[in-house]
Amino acid sequence: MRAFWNIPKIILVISGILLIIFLRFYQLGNIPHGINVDEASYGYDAYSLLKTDKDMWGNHDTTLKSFGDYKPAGLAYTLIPFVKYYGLNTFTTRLPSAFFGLLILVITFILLKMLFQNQIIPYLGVVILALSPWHFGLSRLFYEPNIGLLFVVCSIYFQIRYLKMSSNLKHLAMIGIFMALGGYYYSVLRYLGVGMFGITLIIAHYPNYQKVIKHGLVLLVCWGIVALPYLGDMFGSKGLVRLSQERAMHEFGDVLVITENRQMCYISSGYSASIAKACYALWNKPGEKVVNAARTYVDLLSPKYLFLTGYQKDVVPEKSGAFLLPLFPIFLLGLYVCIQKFRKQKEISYILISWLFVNIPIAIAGAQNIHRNVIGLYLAFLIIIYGLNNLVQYLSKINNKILKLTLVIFSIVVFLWSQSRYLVNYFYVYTRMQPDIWLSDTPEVMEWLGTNRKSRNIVYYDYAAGPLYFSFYNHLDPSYFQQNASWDDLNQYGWTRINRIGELVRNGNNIWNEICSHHGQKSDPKLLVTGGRKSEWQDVVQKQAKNFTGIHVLHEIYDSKVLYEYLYQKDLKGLEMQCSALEKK
Amino acid sequence: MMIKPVSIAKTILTVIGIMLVVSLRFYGLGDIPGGIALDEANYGYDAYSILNTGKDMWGQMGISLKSLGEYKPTGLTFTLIPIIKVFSLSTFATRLPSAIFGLLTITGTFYLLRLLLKDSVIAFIGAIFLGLSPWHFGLSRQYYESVSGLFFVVASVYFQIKYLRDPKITKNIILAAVLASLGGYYYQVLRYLGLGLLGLAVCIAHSGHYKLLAKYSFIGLLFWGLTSIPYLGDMFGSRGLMRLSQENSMHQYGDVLVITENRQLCYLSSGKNPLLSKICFMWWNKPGEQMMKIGKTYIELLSPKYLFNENSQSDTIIPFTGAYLEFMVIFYVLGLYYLVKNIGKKENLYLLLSYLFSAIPIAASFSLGIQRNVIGLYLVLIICTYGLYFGKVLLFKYFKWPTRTITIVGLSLIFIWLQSRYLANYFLVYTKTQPEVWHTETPEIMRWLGEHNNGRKIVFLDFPYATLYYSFFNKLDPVEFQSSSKWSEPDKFGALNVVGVSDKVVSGSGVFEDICIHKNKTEPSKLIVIQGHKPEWSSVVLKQTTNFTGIHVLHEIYDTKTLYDLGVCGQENTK
Repeated sequence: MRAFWNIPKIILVISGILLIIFLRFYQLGNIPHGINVDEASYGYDAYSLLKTDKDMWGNHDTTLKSFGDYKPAGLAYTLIPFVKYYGLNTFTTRLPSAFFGLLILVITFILLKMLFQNQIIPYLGVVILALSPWHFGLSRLFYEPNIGLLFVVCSIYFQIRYLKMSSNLKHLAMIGIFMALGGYYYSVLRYLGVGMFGITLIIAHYPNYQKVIKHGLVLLVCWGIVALPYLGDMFGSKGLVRLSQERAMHEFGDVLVITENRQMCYISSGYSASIAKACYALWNKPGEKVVNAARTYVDLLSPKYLFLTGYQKDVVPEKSGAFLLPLFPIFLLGLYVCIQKFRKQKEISYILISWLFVNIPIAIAGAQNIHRNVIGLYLAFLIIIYGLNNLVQYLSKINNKILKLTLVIFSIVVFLWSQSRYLVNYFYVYTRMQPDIWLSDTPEVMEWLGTNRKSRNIVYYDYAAGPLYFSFYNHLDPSYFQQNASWDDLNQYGWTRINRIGELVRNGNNIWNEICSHHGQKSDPKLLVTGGRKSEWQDVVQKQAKNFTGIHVLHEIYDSKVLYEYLYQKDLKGLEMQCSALEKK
Repeated sequence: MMIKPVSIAKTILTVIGIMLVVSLRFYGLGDIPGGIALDEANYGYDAYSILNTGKDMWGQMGISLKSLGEYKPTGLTFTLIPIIKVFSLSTFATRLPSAIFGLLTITGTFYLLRLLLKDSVIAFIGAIFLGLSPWHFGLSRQYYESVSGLFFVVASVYFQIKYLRDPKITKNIILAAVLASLGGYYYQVLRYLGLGLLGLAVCIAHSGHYKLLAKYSFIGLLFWGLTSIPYLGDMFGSRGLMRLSQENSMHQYGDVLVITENRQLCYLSSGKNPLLSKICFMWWNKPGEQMMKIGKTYIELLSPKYLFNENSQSDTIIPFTGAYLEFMVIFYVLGLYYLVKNIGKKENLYLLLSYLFSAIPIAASFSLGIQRNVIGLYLVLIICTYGLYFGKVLLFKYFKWPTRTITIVGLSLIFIWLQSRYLANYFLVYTKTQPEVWHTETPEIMRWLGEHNNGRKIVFLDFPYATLYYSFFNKLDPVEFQSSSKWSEPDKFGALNVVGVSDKVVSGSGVFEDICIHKNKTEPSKLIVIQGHKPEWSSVVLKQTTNFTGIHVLHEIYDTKTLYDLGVCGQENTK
């Protein structure tokens, strides 16, 4: 009898696993279609490291200079074997995230098995995490925090074991090692990890502070040994450059608000200088920063952020939250359970306090992006599972079989409906209708250029990082790249972008420069890549890339010489006017 | 008898607190925010009409007022009558009931919190928190009827708590029922919510005792029903539900767009396969979309982002500010923790469930409007005050001097800084910089027109409801209004607009029609009111209204004959 029931159970579990794997790997390189600028950057850095042992800047370090943001090098190094095996392409750059995302599910299963006695909870939990918009979306793109999260989840597993099993020192070592490994992938995880240690130790040993200090030292040593290569970066300019870039971007908005309010104060007070001065106490930079951080913190804890609003439109559709809407009541139930058992179960205290804590550094950075808040979202997921466990317990206590069956079927139908709606939206609507988010025509444009270039140089117009995409898709020799790449000066926020790679590929600012270069003189033809459609030049367009409906033209490619000759024949006067205007300049 | 210095300080602080709350709510009440809201004019003129003729501006008398097609409850209008009699018809008069009831609500809150927490200091601070909270402060400085109705709900909750503590005292449930019902005379949503809260209290008080549950449900329902008789029929009829159906039809338009777009994209993505795209109908359809929207609105209403960060009603709260200041989130979290932890206590369970329940009907109307969610927001204040209480307990249990003093002083300074920043913004920036929100120049225009029209007909261009504003500010004879007002056909959402009163004041559609008519020399001149600035006509402008900086022209008034003489007629094709 038991065996009879086990067969459908096994079939169900295997189908579930296969479905999750299928959904995460199906068309990984093509959906979302296109490429993210960081995907190209990590991918080409890995390719460069593989071929020359140096990144695209010609450096070899624990951080990658990249666009001036000094990324941790973990993902680039992880990518090397993938690039070696599968070649450099979008699929490869997304593979580590997809693969590590799957491993997170495995560790989550083990973690949930340890936390809950009910056997069904780990299975349901894994399904919920696997299909939750945030984790699903991150795992189908390159995102490095998703890889780092694997190590954090491993560390959380050992932190909970440590809390549950009377302070085993072996667990302490594992906590530190795994947390340190996460830091190789994403800078924020370095700081959050240390904070989470503190929470674990205080919960485990409060009020015995001597033990907190003793175990804390052991933990820090284990963590520090593994984290040694990036320890210096943590407090130096390289490690904090990303934070300072974010702050600088926000500061601009702050200054506008402060200035406007001070001005209004002055006018409203009948141009009274002393009253207007008093307003300085209310609107100033430190005040605005603190208020903004507090607002972001409140946002991060809000169900609106968790269940309603996608703050990162390349990961989660705009009108979806990090989790699906029907999970909201289960989340509330989870919070209820966690509060009720807060002081009785140390692991619950740990989850709740950590959830409240991990959002603080994210709030200080002023960002609600999903990829920054992976730990917060993972802890929110655990809270949801506590609610689910409680719900299953309530359901199992219902004696009326019809009522119980109705409730179970209703829950399954609601979940399936909203989940399938989400997935259909993801694969059929959302990833297709927004070409600007993922630059969906970039692979097509770059591959065409690679194949049809015929030694012509390429000039891009309004195509940020165009030379990098070309290098990525056409596997440009990294040695050539390192020697010939020319980067813009750092902008006000500390960002740079690649301007040209020798004369081969570069960004242009006025297309007439290239067209007029053929006017009255001999010059080599170039390929010009422009945004949108130039209806008056359609007769000589070499290539057009369109959105998925085939209606809107996203980019066009022209041969500068062919275009010049065409304009010479069709509208010589206009051409001469343009060229003489350029000459005068 | 020696009076302790501590008592003197306490008394001084209390008096200062009360005076601050009162003065902030009444200071410049008719002028800040400057201008007038459409509903203010509407309620005010209806009350003026009833005062003078015994009928509303439609010439009718019922338990709901047809108003602009949405059938408003009459509570606020009747409350306004004696106020208008004493203070005359003005913006100040229309805002006075809200300010007074708001103050009464704060007083009621003090008693309710003292009943709940048995701590007068915390109760007093809680009442001050309410008094200074952006949502209650903002609503109380305008006409909003829901803030008047809230007073009765708060009084009802007071007796519901007393009833929960001692369910055998019938007097409490009767008073709770009567007061809950009175709120419904002011605001429709309060009818359903008031009844719901009452039901919740009875259920919690007698859970498991079905006989008692039936008995007290009957008593509650009887007294609630007796007090509600005049509007009982409206509750389930088309009039009572008119506003809800208007809201629903407005949202349905957006739903249809989303559904159509997603179905189309499904069709295109599936390689124009009609069968596959038909499957998408299962996910994108009207019932599904509405359910999702209700769910989403419900979550938003409970989100700290809505409560502490985001402004969902631009005429009540400063942009990027929530219903409460950010600072309160600490107490909100602590309060929720405390209530959940002690959920075994009936009143705690009642407060938590009421909070969860009160958002449901609001979500069903897809609305995040502050004025609709007054009960939910009020319950958040109760939760925050529990948090304050719990915080105090923790502070005194686990910490000694100087930590206690530093914490109290630190929190007080943060509160004072944030609160003064909010108030300075409200009085000096926010209410001055957004003329379009409150039509700040409307009083000035209408009064000028009243004094200077010299019998000329007035034509308003691009000025919705201007005729009503004119009638309000110039106290147009309600008998004349009732008999000669012309109303537009209801739009697709059922809303109406008064487009003219007795051919004296009308809404026009084109400026040149009224100017070029003077080709006929006998045609009498008119006054036209246009939006914005016409530099080419500046030489003959009769009146200009500007924003508070004096830079941007909001409206201009011209005499049509003067414009004709200027040679404006014939420029229509070039301008």
